[in-house]
Amino acid sequence: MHNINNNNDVINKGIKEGLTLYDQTFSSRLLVGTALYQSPDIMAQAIAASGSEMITLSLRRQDPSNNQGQTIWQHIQQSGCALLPNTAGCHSAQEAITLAQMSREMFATDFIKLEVIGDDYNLQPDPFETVKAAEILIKKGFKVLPYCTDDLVLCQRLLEAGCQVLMPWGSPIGTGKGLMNPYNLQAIRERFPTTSLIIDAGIGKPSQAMAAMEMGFDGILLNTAIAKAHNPIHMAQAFAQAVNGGRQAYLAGLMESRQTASPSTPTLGTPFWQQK
Amino acid sequence: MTQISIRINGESIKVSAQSSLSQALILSPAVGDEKNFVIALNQNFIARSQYDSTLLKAGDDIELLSPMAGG
Repeated sequence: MHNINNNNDVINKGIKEGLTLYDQTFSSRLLVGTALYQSPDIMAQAIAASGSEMITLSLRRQDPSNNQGQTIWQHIQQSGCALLPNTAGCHSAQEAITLAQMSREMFATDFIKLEVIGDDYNLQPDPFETVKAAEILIKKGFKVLPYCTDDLVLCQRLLEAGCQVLMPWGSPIGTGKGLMNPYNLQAIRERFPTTSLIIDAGIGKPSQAMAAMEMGFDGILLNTAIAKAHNPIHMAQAFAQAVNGGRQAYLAGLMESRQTASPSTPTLGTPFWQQK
Repeated sequence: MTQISIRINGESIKVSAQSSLSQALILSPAVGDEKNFVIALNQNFIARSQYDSTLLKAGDDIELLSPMAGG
């Protein structure tokens, strides 16, 4: 009993520890995007329901005849969340670096979600340009959160470049296919036990987010699964609970799976049993 | 005064030769009432503090971006 109490203390401490991103800690381990919502008002309510403390956004050309961008920006500012601007749409290190610099001036943050796309079919990140951009941005004082594939060596290179957080994909952006390569993700988790690892992209269901958290990932970043739900506000709550549940399960320690069945009810004293 | 052609967000506009970035922005319909924007000139970031001192030349390509939703 004494050991269980000690273990409870460790788990409770772990739950309270929060997500560390460079020099900042966030109590929520769920990061959400701000795109694809039916309206800015629903977006704001979904962000609040998610409990997220960091949200992603972008820079785009503005249509002077349409002030939608301004309305969204007002709602984002009112959310009180930390901002994580992205470099979505960039196809080269140079484009991403320029957009990161523009974002830093616009949003007054060193955080940048580095996204350099290598293939437009599945929006797969370009590993070579991502590393190149990360090296330069880190030297310029950015806190780089690179969106990357689940390639172990790529993750290693990004850490060598100075990234303190990695964001491997679960599956391609917007697919909702969940964790495509659990083996690769597990290997990354085990190989880099002290690095903050966030699954970014491809999460479609709360159960998939929970599975990633059970594996020991530190956080989840998603957008489409909430924004495109029939009820984004309730879905945001569901994801918040899944992320917390997965984290708690990871800290509690999962049982080892077995190949053969093993009865959970004691066999001693089984009724109707006769020795033959 | 000699006019030069530049582009802002893909749209060509004419400005006086030796115009500064600040002067060109006043003429651009892309700016409109928008106050929250940042700029890249020929794919290089230009800090707000440099708008007055940055002189434009023919063919310059200005990207003027504002906050938007993102994932």
